[in-house]
Amino acid sequence: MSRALERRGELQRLARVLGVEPDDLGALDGADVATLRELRHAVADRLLEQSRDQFSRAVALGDALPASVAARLAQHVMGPVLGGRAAALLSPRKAGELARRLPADFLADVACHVDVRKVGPLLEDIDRGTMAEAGEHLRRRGEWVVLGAFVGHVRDDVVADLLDGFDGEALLRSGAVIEDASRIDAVVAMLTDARLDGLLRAADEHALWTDVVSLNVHLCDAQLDRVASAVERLSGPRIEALAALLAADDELRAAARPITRRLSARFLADVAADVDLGRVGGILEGIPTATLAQAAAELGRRDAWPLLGRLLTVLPEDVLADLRPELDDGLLRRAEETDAAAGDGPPAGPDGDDAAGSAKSPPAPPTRR
Amino acid sequence: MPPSARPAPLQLPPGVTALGPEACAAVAALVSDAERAQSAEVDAALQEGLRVVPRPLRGIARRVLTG
Repeated sequence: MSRALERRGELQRLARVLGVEPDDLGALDGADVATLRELRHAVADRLLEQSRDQFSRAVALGDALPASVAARLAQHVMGPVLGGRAAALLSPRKAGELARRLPADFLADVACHVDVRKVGPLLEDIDRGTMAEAGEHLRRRGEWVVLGAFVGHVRDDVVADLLDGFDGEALLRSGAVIEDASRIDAVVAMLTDARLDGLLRAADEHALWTDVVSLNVHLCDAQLDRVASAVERLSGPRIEALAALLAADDELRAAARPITRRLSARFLADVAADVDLGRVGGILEGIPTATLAQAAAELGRRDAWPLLGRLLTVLPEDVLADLRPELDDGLLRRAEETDAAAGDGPPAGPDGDDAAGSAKSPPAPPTRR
Repeated sequence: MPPSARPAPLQLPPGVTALGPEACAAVAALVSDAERAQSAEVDAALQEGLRVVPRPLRGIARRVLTG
């Protein structure tokens, strides 16, 4: 998760506990995420202790009454804020019983106010269907921070049910604010390749590439391989947009290395024909020399000499210096000759078309579609 | 609650105190407001709770709520 996202999420959680808007927390502008979290926990503990006696009596009343009356009390009298705080004192059995009788939209309200540190054990007794339904309400309201907080406390099967109803944007926005980062790899592993593709398309359509890239640091090799494969399945314009973003942001480019260094030579050869090569330097820079050499050889095998020539032209000087010794002399000479012969005219693609476009044009900002 | 029984102010994390006295005062005021609001809401909820409980069960409910 990026620092900015993490901070925004933490401010939202703290504001909820204090009953104010995040904008009211300007006094904490200089506080880091750990401090904000520490303060939130301290305030939540304090509020629970302040009313522990009354909350305990309300919970005892719920135990003494028929479950249907207890549910009515919870919904219409305690409401989501007090109910969320008092939930910390419920037994798992009672929590499960109440959850079955309360409407999902109210449970979603409560979820916005519970202290997940305290109610984590209660979630075991709430059935999957109820959790998924409440999660769906949270998704519709865009409560990504709340969803992100719960992922660390619910079983994998419940997370899988929740994710089933999420489109690419919802997956990404909630995934980017998962509070327990150690769960991110497991969550990505639950997604099919098609859903991973949807997530990347959403990143492109909603300008959320930073969120995707910042998730990388929490992924193991297997999931990084899958994300890299999903990137390879993106269309040319989306690749250009991603590359332009990486080219413009050193930090992001460095964070994306685990993905870019996994891109295959075949992808590079294919992408060379599909994109404006002048715009993809941000991706090319992170690719290992050996992969670039294989891609160059692949373009040679395809007789795509103009493309190879332009690929070599757009590579950063230091990358090219490393690559030259890896390339066959004949391959290099022919690519350079063909590129020179192409002159200022339109470059030819692998099939004689002009797919390489204006390969020498400078990088441009990503275009939104 | 009589003033003498008021709990001590919340001990703020070092990361907050490092922001200076103005920030600490602002945060302490927010915490204090949240405490006051919760206290009033809880009292109101417990009163209202008795009205929601069906009449035959109100005696039990009152005993549970008043201890």
